Amino acid sequence: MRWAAWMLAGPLLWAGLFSVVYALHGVGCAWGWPALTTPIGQAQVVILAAVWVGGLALHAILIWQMPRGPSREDRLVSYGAWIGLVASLLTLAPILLTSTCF
Amino acid sequence: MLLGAAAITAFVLILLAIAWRRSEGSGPDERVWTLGLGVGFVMTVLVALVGYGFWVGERILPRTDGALRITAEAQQWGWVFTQPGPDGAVIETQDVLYVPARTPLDLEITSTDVIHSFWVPRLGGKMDAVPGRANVLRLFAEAPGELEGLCAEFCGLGHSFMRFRVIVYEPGAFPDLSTSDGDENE
Repeated sequence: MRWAAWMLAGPLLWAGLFSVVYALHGVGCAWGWPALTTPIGQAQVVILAAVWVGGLALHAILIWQMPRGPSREDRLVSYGAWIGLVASLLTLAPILLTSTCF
Repeated sequence: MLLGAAAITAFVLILLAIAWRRSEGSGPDERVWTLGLGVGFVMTVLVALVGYGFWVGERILPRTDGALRITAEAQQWGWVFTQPGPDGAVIETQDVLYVPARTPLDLEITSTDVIHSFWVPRLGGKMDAVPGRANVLRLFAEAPGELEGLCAEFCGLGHSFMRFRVIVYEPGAFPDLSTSDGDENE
């Protein structure tokens, strides 16, 4: 059943990353991060984007390390890993695109 | 959006008709259906819809640009609007909101009893009216006219009658209050 764990790793990583970013968004709004500026932009966006990029790097490592082969299980592992990456990419992109803390 | 939904429905029905008529084993590879239409097409539509949602969401956010500010106070089962009148003096109106055309304004929405929701479908998204809290909604009406608004959150027995009118007027030409149906108190 190792393949099932590999298959679920991508979506689980997405779920964890989404929860962390969501929680940090609330913490940042409560603590006034949007009012703080850093050399590369608003602290709220920079912190959330850093966590997001870190999560995407973990997804990339997962894809790099996943078992490969012609079997049905290997194909499912590959689907799981890519689904996780695309989900993290799409669902957290609003960090950079939308306003925050209203 | 209705046109898009109708086009997608028609597209799916056409595909269904083709599938019904074709003989067993012929036609494109199953990958075309699963990856192309099952994943690719659906993802494209969802991303477009979510993108549109973000655009609408950004449009109704208040900005710090000194826009006109009006308060809307909800109560079972009506709305009281406090806004500048014809001569600039503040007036209070019952179930009638006056909005200058092509002028952004921020509406401070609150409630005195239970949770209600302010919604003018022609002007964009809804905003909850919560007791003890002022939520701010940016409104922008393109052209003069009369629009309908309603409470979009179930708030008791009179909920379905909790409607109001939005009168959009040319800037500088405030409507004659004596000809309006709403109750105004200076």
